[in-house]
Amino acid sequence: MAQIHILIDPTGQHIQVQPHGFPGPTCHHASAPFLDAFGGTILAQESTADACVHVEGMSSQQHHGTAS
Amino acid sequence: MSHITTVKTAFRLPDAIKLAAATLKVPLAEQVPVRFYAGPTPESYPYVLQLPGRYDLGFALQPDGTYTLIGDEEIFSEQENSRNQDARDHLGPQAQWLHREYQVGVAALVAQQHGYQMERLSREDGWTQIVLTQ
Repeated sequence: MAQIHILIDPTGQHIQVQPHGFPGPTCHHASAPFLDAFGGTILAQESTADACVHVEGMSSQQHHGTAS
Repeated sequence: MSHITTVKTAFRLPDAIKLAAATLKVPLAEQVPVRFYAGPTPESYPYVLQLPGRYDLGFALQPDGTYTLIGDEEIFSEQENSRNQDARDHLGPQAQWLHREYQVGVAALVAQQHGYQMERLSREDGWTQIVLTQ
């Protein structure tokens, strides 16, 4: 089942958006409206399959989560 | 597949600010001054959380469309005292609960727009997890 998990850190200032179960590049489309709405600075992007682009290092503050 | 993006957030959506205020049970006024240590500001701000006690916390609109928080520095202090106690009780230390509830509000608004069912979980490590299912 396709789901989006959103994790909010205890300070409420950092968020991880994690689409799970979306096929191929549609993961980007699933994340996009949430990223647009949160509207902050993207700190890191991390993929678990080669269909998603891996980008990070836009800030010295990076938080990574585990993917399933 | 999974694709994880981490974002440092900004206050942008008034509707999410309103949801956060409702969740925190703090009245949200529009276009009113903010109360500081020395009294109310001469200018008004688009949104102001009217806290019990000595201080308010306002949202000041910036040229880029985001809102910055404006309030007495004691609201954001790590030190607890009699003046910032009410703010801490309602907004958490350094207003952390406000940030968290704003993010939950943003997620809820987008989830509603895109037809997701939303479930909220509080984890033992202090993180808030939102699970969205279509």
